[in-house]
Amino acid sequence: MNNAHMKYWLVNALCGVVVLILLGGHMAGMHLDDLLALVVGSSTEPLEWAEVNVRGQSRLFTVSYVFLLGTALFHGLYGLHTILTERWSGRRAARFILFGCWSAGVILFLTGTIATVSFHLLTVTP
Amino acid sequence: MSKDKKTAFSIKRFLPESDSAPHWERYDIETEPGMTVLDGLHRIREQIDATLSWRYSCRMGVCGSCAMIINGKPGLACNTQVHDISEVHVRLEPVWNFSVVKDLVTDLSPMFDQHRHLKPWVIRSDTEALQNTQAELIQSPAALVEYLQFSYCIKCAACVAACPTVAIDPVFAGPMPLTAAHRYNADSRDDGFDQRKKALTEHHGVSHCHYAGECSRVCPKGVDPAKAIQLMKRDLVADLFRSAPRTPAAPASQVHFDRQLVNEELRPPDFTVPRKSAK
Repeated sequence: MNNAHMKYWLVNALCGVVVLILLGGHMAGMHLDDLLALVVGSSTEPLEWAEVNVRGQSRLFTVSYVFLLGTALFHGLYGLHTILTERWSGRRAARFILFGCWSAGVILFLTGTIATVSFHLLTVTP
Repeated sequence: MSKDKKTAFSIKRFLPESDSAPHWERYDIETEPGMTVLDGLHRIREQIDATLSWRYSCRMGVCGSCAMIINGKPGLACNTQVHDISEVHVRLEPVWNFSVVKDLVTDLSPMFDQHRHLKPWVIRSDTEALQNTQAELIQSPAALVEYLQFSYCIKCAACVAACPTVAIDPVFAGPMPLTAAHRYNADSRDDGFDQRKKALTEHHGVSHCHYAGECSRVCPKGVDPAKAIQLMKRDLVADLFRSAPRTPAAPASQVHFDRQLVNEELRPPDFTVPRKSAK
């Protein structure tokens, strides 16, 4: 496939930007809530059931989490693929590593997406 | 200013006929201000050990032959002054990432094989420039500036020695070949982008540069290979979204020589003919 490596590289760079934004939001909302409260003036405990329920019911949160999962997996596994193929640079090793990374990525993505969407469906009020 | 003093040169030696592995040898020589590392090597060879081997040629930083590791950093022996490095101890070893032939001499052929693979010459889509010897490939000063910096490369291999990706990935092209490829891709007279693209974007191509920047840090000619590689990534990404074929380079220009005028200009003056007086 022509230019496949450049296309993967470009997607990896774009995923890095997306991860920065979405992960930044996740970190601010979930783990730096006290710090955020200083900025926005109010604080809610993100792990309280009411808050969890709100996020679960929100289609925006669900889609964002799936998007974050996909881009983080691609970015991380692209980096792992690069490290491994630089260490083992033969063609056969490259095919094996590519297959392994794609397999791990697809399995983890499907697992995470099923979990996220299932929770969304459970929390949505019928 | 420092006076003459003894400086210890520790050199990583390897004699393939007798050594199983490289080893360090120390030579103490008189050094003075203004003396280069290359001068030191000559002094060692002349006064102490005539078996010491290294490459050199121009002695003035334009050929790239004398690249070596000087106190842990790739550089040229001919334009590195001993007292700028250390008046006490200078450590010399062959450039990293290449197999050693003998002492400070390494086998650079893998780098030049990569270089050749990326077609480092002007490629034309027309044949007029080849068929018409009177033709010129006109280039504006602005077009020259696009690649001039990258044409200063002297192929010394200091950048390849410093590259951490080359250190672990023997298939990666390396900074010098990639910079040479960009030098020609950026040349307005060249039409070889599509031919080089395949080699650049294949397995372990330009996308494996992680922008460590060590190549630019050690380059003795200010070429900035890291910049060249990032510019090339930009061009390759832009090419992914290109829908129309690339604009070919300007055709060769016909330069008309007025042979009569040239002959008259070159003819020596005839002193028998009276000069016309100025009015």
